[in-house]
Amino acid sequence: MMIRIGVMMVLGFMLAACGDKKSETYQWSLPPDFPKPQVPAKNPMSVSKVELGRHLFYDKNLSANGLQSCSSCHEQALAFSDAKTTSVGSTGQVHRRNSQALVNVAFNRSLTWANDEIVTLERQILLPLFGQEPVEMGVTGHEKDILATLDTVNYRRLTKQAFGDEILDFDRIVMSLASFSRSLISLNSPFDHYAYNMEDEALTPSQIRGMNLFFSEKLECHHCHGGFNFTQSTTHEKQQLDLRAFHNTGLYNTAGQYNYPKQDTGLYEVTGKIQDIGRFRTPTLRNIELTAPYMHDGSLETLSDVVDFYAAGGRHITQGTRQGDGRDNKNKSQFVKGFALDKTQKQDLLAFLNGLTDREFVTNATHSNPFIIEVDKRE
Amino acid sequence: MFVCTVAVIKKFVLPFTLICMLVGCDKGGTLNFELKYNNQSVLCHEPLAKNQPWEIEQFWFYVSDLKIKKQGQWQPLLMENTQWQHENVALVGIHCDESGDKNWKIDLADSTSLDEGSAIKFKIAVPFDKNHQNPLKAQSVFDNANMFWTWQQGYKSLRLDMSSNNGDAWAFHVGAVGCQSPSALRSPKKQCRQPNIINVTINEFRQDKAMIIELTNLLKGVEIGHQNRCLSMPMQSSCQLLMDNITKISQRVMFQEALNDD
Repeated sequence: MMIRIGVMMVLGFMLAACGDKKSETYQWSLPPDFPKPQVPAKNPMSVSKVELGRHLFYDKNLSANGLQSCSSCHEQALAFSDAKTTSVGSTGQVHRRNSQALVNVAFNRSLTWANDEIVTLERQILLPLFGQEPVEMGVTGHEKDILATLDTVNYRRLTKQAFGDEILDFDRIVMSLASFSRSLISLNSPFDHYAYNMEDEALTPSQIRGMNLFFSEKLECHHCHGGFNFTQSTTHEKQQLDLRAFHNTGLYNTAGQYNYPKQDTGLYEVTGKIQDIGRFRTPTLRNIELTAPYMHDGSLETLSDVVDFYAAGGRHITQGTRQGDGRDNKNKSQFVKGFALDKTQKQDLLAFLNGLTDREFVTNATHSNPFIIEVDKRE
Repeated sequence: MFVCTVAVIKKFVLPFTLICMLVGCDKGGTLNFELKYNNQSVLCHEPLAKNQPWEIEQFWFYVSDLKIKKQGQWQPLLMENTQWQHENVALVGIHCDESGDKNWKIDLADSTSLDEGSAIKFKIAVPFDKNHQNPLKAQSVFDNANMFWTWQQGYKSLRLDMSSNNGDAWAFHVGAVGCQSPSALRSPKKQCRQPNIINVTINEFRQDKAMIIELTNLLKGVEIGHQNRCLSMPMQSSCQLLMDNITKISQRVMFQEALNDD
């Protein structure tokens, strides 16, 4: 009897020790030889932090009024974006910007649509949580209440595994949400199979033609949407040059003081430099099929509209308050020059863009909502 | 544990290298470059000259197949492996954004290799065997999305981007074209039809003098503006003129100052 207890105790200690070890080394789900993302030293990755972050991400109790969670604007099925033109916060306030997809954000050189100073997720996550203009989760002024609501047996357990004790505060909430966001890696599309696994059959002939168009100097897509993450605004642990990829694509050319609608002049609002008017961060094109509508304000509805827009070299708005010919915007990037595409070529290009969809990513259970109980889990 | 070991190595190797550089542990000779416009040094965030609106955004080029002439014979000049040099290919230039990344020299492996050299030559090009590799496995100077085109076409061997204070922009990108492979993401098995290699020769070489890159001579006859970019595409008329300028010694785009230069 005593021996049994003794053995149980030893086993218990061993298992406890194993548990600690498991949370020490995080295994990125990256293809072989792929560079790893940069992670701040103050918030190393761990499985348990990601798990705590996952719960918080899907928990409406993280918002002050209990009506919204991060996943409300970042739905997994839509590659963690939403289908609205611009998002709506927990208090019903309509935002001015479109919800960005959370795809490989661990590799983002900067965060948000237009801010060159926000370079870590830990800094960015403060905005949707605490921001008051616009209000998203509405935490400011309600911190104590929210933490009280989150003080459950389950969160105590998750917090203890992640941080060693049961105290959940907003510092830890931000760190675990950042870890969860970093874990959202999507590198398993048909394109990846073709490009890096050398599987010639992974893309259709139409998609290959579209890919050749995408990477051609005629279309110049790759000047801004190049690299493994289909955005030049990328960084990883081995990268030599820091590319600050904010571009004005000629979406607008309004009259008045600024040549972009004053509700959103992009990077200019942060830097104060005239040439930064209308400049926005190049987002990734991975999973782009799922993340309509497009652009910082969701003003282009479909990918077909997007291709037409770039083919024209900008957007000409002929009436209304935002009238103007974006094609002539003087801050427009020199790489948005317009091009001619016939119907087949356009179809090929769209087919290629659809080939960037990673079906595994949008159904992966490790990124899914832990609060939904799966009734039927056959197969 | 492995991660820990790597971190320890990083902690100690870097400072050691720094000390070596200061003390000069077995350092080789150096080739220096200077970028000029009308004989004035080019600075970031400044117009190239007083009465014109253009400034450079970035200027980079790869140097390979570096050779020196001694006693009438050409022999290879080997480079050290550094942050800007890898397997005898160097990346030289500058990025005029916040990073301010720049490199204006090539460090040679052997400190005596420049002695008694009467001429040097090199190619502005990435060698074929390195030009069409998987970018994800690319090392060092090749791990550079800024200079990479596609697997099929390889790298831009030279990139000059300029902008003007009235919103205009211009670019000169040199790279191989006419590369045959099943798609943009498959490397060619043989040389591209137009490798666009730029050969540079410096006769009467002096190792104590920098190599000047004179932009006015590169741009001679070219009307700079977004209509006139050269991205190595056949229909771009400025390409021929720019390539002529940079490849002809008489155009003096890359040269060393003579002793009595006026």
